[in-house]
Amino acid sequence: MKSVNFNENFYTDIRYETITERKIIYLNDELQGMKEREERGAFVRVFDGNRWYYSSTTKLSQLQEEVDNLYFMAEECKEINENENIKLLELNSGEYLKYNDALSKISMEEKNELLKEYMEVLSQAKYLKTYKAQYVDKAIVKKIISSKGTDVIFDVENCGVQISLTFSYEGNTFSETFQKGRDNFQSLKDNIDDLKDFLIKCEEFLVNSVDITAGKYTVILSPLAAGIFAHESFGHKSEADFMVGDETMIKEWSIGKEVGAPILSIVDTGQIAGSGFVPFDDEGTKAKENYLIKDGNLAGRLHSSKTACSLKEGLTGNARAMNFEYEPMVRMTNTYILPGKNTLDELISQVEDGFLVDTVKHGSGMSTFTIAPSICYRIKGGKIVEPAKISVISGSVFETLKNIDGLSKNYELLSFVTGGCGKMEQWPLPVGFGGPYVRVQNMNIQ
Amino acid sequence: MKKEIYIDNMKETSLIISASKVDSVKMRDITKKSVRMYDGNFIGIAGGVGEVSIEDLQKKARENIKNKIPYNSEISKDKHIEIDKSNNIMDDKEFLLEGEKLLSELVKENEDFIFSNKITMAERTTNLINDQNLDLRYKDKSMYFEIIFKEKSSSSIFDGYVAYEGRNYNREDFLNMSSKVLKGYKNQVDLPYEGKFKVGVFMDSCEQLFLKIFSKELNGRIFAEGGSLFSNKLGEKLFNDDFTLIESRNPDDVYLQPFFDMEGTVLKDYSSNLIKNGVLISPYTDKKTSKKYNIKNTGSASGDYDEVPTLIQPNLTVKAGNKTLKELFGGEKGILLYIASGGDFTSSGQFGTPVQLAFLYDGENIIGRLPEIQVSSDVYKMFNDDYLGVCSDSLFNMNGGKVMVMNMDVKKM
Repeated sequence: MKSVNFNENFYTDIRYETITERKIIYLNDELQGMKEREERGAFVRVFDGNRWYYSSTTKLSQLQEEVDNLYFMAEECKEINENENIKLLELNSGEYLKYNDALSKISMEEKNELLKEYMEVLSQAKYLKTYKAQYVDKAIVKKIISSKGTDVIFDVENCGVQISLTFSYEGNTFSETFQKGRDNFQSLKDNIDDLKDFLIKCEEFLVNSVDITAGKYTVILSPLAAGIFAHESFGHKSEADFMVGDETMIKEWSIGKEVGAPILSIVDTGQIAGSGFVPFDDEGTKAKENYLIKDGNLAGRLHSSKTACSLKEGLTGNARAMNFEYEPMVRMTNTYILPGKNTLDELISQVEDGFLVDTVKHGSGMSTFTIAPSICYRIKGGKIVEPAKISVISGSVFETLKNIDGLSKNYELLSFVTGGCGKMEQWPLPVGFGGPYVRVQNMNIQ
Repeated sequence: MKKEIYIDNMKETSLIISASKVDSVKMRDITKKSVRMYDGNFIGIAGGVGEVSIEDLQKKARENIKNKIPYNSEISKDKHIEIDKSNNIMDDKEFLLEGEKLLSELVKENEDFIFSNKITMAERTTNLINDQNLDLRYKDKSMYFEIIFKEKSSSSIFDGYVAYEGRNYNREDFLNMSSKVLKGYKNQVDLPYEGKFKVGVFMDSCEQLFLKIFSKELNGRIFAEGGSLFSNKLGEKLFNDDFTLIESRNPDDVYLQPFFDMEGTVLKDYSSNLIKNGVLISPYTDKKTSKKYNIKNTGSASGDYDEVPTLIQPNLTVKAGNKTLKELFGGEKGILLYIASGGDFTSSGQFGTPVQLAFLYDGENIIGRLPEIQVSSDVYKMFNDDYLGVCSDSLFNMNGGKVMVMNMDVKKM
């Protein structure tokens, strides 16, 4: 890596990334692809106290020219180190290599064998028509240097299996996706039986699921659904870039305000291993544990240095970019609802007429959040009675947060190996999410 | 052994807007290259970004044949086509000045709103060549703007956006469109009643949500294996006479997307009918699916630059009809869906979605902003008896602006 000279009248940082990705794909039983790829690129930022200038490039031998080109566009600022935004940036240095390229030490043959073991389970399915199975792993090493003195190198690794399944039975069809994401290869071997259970669940849904009547119902969200709900309904609202320069939002989102039921607490942190593991964000800020809601009250929000400076708050470690092609913006990491005191059975037993949402296709969140469920069950008289087809669950974020009246004591933080969070043009960014089983009154079901 | 080279370069200049000001300027210049080597019925691929040599990639691709990835299709050959749509667009410097000017006028004319997000000018060059006399070259330069607006008094994270994508940008047209949307936004009106309405789906923002069922169920592999809602219905009249669903790579209609797929298939007129006048003509396919199941190849091979091309949902759109928006609404007050996200179809084809931004609309004028609503229907109703058509004109007299009109059930959230 060639060294780059910084001009002292600008703030400059460079994020170097080496991304190693391996993928094996089967369509039904036929091998469709097997690849190992390494990409290297850099993202350069220059700040002149007024505007940021960015350049994304793969021409690593010409980085000095990229930096000089941005200096040419910007205006020199002799007091740049006195700028509040620059003063706020953390100064970290050191080597934080947790994984040390562990995934590259496992052969493609071994990864292929693992995927085949999962695929063997598929022969037990009675109504499976077609599938696409893939093993994916990704190792990212990032080095961030800045004119302020940051010089930090760290890594993240994730691997997993994803199988898209399409079933058909007497004219009815159903598609679902099985996915396991982990941060180490060995633990993927422990989850093969989960696929057996998943197939049984899918086929039961295919054969027995019934249409529902739209309306307002009590809904119990699984840890997956609760995680999507936490991410979509409140996580995005906690991203402070939506508040910059907006007096209404700053007043509306004052810390301490009651925003949910008293049993509700939501946390975001990049400190936990998995798809939301972000030991340092893309400005070099160390990961922190950030309460978004604590006991029903607004407890914090997520920041980049720019938003933290603008709102005069502390850094949270949430300035993230999808990769070296993109600029960091405020994004979530691992977002989850903290557990409660009930068992799942207790939560179900108190529902007269409602639904349990087990798996989810996708979710979204503005003032209204949406969850498009896949596998759901009807609850009547405190018991699960049959699988049910729901196209979408939606509602006002704040009304819904206040309608939470039960949380299970067991919870799960989920990791993924494909897909991720989308914001503006940056999709998919790896995130983790989860929570306990969450019961919500009066949800709108279509 | 046959050799094929794919090279894709994307250059972008963007103005990033925050709190109604240009907050940052971004330049992006990324080149992705891959070499595919074909040996009998197997393919080896290697790819890389930036400063990688074709010679090195060729060597690695040759080595990768050992992975025994089957590729039984004939590679594209004997075709030379070059399409350059990159003319008549401003240079980077002019773009930066124009972006600032546009934003300043937008802010001046709409003081009650805060604007954010990004405006971008992009240039893409994509070449696919092989030693079987294939030489496909595509170049495009276009602009895409998505400017988010939020009323200053609103407590939402954002309230909507105004967008543009094309090669014939005109500031005045963009400001006129923005003015219509923002004026409509500020005038809050009630939903006149709950029940059936003529609903206009603004295709620039909502089309893919409504066509989601076709993206999924017309996948050639799933279709042929019997896993689709439409399996065994080829040739059947399933939808309205006026409903024609096409897969398009026509460079006149599609921006920054090559006119050929990742296997080098070039369609006649760069498009293919999947449903024509209500009759199911074909699922979408790549070469492999086409050969395996004996279905026409619709040129839908896609995938990452360094992967074996595979069947991935293409860009689907609905063909416009002969009626104008005014004629489709027939003087009735209906609803224009401007932003709808998060909805979906059930496995049996029932559809529901919340609508985050909808306007009361009469076919000519945006009357006012409705409260949040939800719309619902069923695939066999919304594209059959309840389907009215896609307008021949444009909502905003600009690029795109097509509206698909159908009767739907509408309720308040």
